Amino acid sequence: MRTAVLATAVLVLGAVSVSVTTQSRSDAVSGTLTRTFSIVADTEVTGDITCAVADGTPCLSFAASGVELRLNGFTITGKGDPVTGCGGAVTPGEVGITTNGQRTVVVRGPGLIQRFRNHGVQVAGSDGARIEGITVSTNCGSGIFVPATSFNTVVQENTAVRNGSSNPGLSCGGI
Amino acid sequence: MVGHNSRVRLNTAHGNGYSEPPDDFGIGVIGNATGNVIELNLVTGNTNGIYIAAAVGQNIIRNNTAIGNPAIQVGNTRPDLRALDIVNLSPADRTVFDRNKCVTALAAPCPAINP
Repeated sequence: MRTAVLATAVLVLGAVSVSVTTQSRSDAVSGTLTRTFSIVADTEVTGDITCAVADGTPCLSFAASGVELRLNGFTITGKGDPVTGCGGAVTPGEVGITTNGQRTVVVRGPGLIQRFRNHGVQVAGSDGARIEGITVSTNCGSGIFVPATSFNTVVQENTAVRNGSSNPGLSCGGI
Repeated sequence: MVGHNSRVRLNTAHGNGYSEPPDDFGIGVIGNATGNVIELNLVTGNTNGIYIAAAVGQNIIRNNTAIGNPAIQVGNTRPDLRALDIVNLSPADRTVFDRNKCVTALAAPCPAINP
């Protein structure tokens, strides 16, 4: 009987330990990125990010559903011109953050996403995404763009400044 | 914003968009966007403030403040741009407007602005 109780206690403690480990897991990102950073768990931005990824690729891309990217007041900067955000025509695919078809992901500010040669944040093919509390500025497209492939998005308490493109046929702007 | 069944609320949009061509915006409901609620946003100094394109479905635009779109110099010197606080190009029964504050609009109500 005593052995059985002890075994049960060990199992319970083990389960609690595993649970705590899972809940506290998070990634961190900062510095210069030379390839797209895949967000596979809750992720903290721990310093300013400069995006030097290949032309036409996103800087950060969600690769799991139900996870959150927290900007923590830092800045994510793309390769666009500091005045126009563009540096020529809009560059397809070169966004700051894409939700990449993942469900119920969150981008949470405060924090600044600027100078991407396309949208600052693109909610692409996602259901239930949430973009909250960020600032998007000087992006050559929309600051936050929610295309027709996305549903039930919440875009709340953000600030969009000086986004847009003079390209004919591209109607864009803040949100 | 082309997505569906979304909430865009409590955002501020300032100084967005180019005036050539004048189809940029602070907040845009474009493409075939349907079922969205755009509410409680502050939208100033953009090419157009809130822009609703022709082919959208049913959407609700309520309790927004869209004023000063575009800046007065642009509006006065380039009236041909037809850039306004609210531009509604959708059919009459598609978009619901309720208690927005604006000064200039196309096919959308602009109630008197109280100081």
